[in-house]
Amino acid sequence: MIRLSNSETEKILEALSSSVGNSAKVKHELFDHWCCFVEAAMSNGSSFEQAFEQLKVHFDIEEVKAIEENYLAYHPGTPWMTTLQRVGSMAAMLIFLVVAGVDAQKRPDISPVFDQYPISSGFGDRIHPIAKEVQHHNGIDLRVPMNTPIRTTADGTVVKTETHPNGHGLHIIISHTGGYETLYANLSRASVSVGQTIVKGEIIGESGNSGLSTAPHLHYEIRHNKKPVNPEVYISK
Amino acid sequence: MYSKELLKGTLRTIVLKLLAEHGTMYGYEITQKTKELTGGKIVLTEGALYPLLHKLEAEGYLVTNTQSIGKRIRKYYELTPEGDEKAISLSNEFADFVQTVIYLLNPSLAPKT
Repeated sequence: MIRLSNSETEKILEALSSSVGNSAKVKHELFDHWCCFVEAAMSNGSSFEQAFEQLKVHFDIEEVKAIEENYLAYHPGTPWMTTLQRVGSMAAMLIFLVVAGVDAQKRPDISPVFDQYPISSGFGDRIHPIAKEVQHHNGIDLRVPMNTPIRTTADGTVVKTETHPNGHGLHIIISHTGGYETLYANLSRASVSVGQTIVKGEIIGESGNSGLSTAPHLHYEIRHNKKPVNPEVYISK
Repeated sequence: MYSKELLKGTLRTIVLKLLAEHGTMYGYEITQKTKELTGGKIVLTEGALYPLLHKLEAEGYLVTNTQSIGKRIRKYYELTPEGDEKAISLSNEFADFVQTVIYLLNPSLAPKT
């Protein structure tokens, strides 16, 4: 089986982004799907350029529109809903919240990265690697290589993307229900903007080495009612 | 290829049944398997498949597992116990429906009552 090179993968991602935009809910699935399609065509003897042309023919803009429409049709909560449906689903949500309780359902309970990486610095008091004095570490540092995709750990809304060269570097803060907030710091890239609604597991950027940092890593923090808590306790094994 | 209208009601049954038979699968694999098993007569478009998978996940019939492959992210889908049950009940219902329609279209084949 042929595996696409990085530059070929990039080319497919560009084509995808220009047809579905960055907000599409099914973008990650489509990206892999398109790559598989091209790889299969190449395994059958096509060159990358030929396979890429076949992809464009196979997957025209009408198809893209159909995905968005299908998605809307399947997912209440989007603008196509009538007022009546909106009221109905809000009432249902309210009942759900009362019955199920939001805390256990929505708390950030997955790892911010897809694979397992060592924790280079845990939560709690530690000697700061640059300040060389004892400070409380409000999160955990995961030793991830540069440009590793970072995902959000619960549904939420982006409340901050900022760069602090003498602190967290490029970082993203996401607000969740139940009084939770998560912080992802020392990034190289943020692919979301303030106000954007994010679903659990969605990729929000890439890890890096920005801010006060001695080596590439991800600083990940969970705050519950503004107070930092130990993320290791929350990440389900 | 069959008409969209004809496929619409069966898509869910097809996807659930495939996952029940094959365990964990990713999106492209599901489309290829369907093509292979039906000799190319049923083609699942991405436009229909991915929104449906999202919906099935939201309904609790499947869970996803994500792996990164270089710059790509691959999502694997797997049925929950509820999904397994649903796959059985939907495919039984559908088989029964097909039988009924065959009798309806060919009354001579219907069992005498």
